[in-house]
Parts: sequence; C-alpha cells; structure tokens
Amino acid sequence: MVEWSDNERAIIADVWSKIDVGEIGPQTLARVLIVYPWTRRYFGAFGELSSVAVVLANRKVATHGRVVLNALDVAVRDLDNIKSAYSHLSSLHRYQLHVDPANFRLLADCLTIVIATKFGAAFSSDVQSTWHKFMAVVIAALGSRYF
Amino acid sequence: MVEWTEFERSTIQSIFSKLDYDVAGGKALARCLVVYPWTQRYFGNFGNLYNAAAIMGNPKVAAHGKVVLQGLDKAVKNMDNIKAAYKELSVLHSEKLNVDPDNFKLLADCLTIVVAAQMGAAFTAQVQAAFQKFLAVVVSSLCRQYY
Repeated sequence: MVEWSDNERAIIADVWSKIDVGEIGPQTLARVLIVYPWTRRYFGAFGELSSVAVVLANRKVATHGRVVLNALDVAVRDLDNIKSAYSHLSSLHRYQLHVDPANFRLLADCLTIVIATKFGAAFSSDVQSTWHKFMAVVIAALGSRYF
Repeated sequence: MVEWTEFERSTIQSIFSKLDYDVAGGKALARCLVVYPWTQRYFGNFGNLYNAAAIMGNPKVAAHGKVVLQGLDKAVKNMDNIKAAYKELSVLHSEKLNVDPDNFKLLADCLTIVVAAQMGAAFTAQVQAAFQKFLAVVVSSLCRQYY
C-alpha cells in the first residue's frame, strides 16, 4: 500500500484546495489534445478539434475536462485507498473506452504543467515531488484493471 | 530533418532569451535530483544532497545546472541541425559519463516545469507544444550516439 507522510498529505490537500476544477480541467484536457494530437482519436464525437484555436474554444472539451478533473477529487479524499476507489474507473477506461494507459501519463503531465503555470514559484521542488508521486499513484490505479 | 514553423522558432528563441542562465539550469537540475532521487547517483562528489533544502542550496548543483543550460543553448542556436551539433555531447554522455538516456527526459520535464512556473499564463498550450517538441529533439539527439 502507498505510504503518505503527513507533509505529503498536507501538500496534496493544499494544492487541490487551490485548484478551480472549472478552470483547470478544461485547460488540461485542451493541452493534451494540442500537445499530443493523436489523443484526438478518442474524442471523435467532440466535433471540431482540427486546430489550437478550435480545441480551446470547444465546449465539449471544456465540459469533459471538468468531468475528468472532478474525478481526481475521489483520490484526494481517499489517499489510502486510491486503487480500490478507482477500480470502477479503471474498468471503464479499459473495457468501454479502450484508452491506451500510456495516455494517463500525458494527462498527468499536462495537469502538472498547468498547476506550475498557476502556482509559479510556489510550485517548489517539494510540492512537485509530492504531486508527481500522487499522479503516479493515480495513474497506476487507473491502469490496475488493464492486465 | 526536423521542420520548425516560424512560431516554433520564435517561441524557442523567446523562451531562452528570457531565461536567466545563471539560475534556470540550476533550478531544473535541483528539481531533478529532488523529484527523481536516483539521479543523485551521478553526482557523488557534489557534497550534501541529503534533502531538498540541501540540494536547492548546493553550489555545485547550481554551477552544473548552468553548464547544462549552456549546453542547451547550443541547440537553441542550431535548431536546424541539433543532431550534428550534439554529436560530441552524446558521445560524452554515453561513453564517458555513462548516463542512462532515460534521464534526459527527466531533466527535460523538470526544465519544462521551471519554465512553466516562470512564465505563468504565458506558457500557453501552443508554447508548451513548441517547447516540448524542441526538448524531444534535444533528447533524441543526445541519445543518438548510444547505439
């Protein structure tokens, strides 16, 4: 089981409390679709995704970005049981959505970058380490039903 | 050969022109040593690397970070032939320093975060895409002589 120090718990809770899901979710997903364009294949039903401007303006991307980021709340609230908390989500991504698990890391990377742009110097190396660990645990949990 | 759009060229030049070479490289290297602690094995003679505070304040880390960033400057000034420009550096890392090439990506990621934190909202999705493309080419060029 993952062990979290008190300091790590405090950092994660603090970062999460400062994240506006409505603002960060859409930005994060948009970045994934822009920086890693092959990911657009998962969003055929979202309409126009053919250029940067269009992705940034796409309402379905924004809505879905919020959905994805809201789901992180489950992990933040249950740090000691992320794997079981995400069991259903993992099955969903594997059996219904057929998402290549390599993409979880791309989203996590984009989220980390968005947070860094917002927090500036406050995203210190300690905060980055802790957040990176949290993302790694989330990614592993989401991949847990794949094999 | 890598093709660069006008936007990508100007973005890369602009980012690096705004970086304080005395500081940014050191910050990125320090983060690497903190967030990915196994990388500390390459710096056995750097003295105190026992905790984040020690690493962030270590003068050898700062000095070496500057060396690394100056190495990156070579790529910035030779964007149309990074592979050739980095031939010696690649041989140096593979044959003399014996650096596992996976680590290049880790440092690239840390540099991305340093730049994102510094630029804030100006580190847009398009800028991120250009910067990551540049770093991917750099990483690939550094890996070239390994095989």
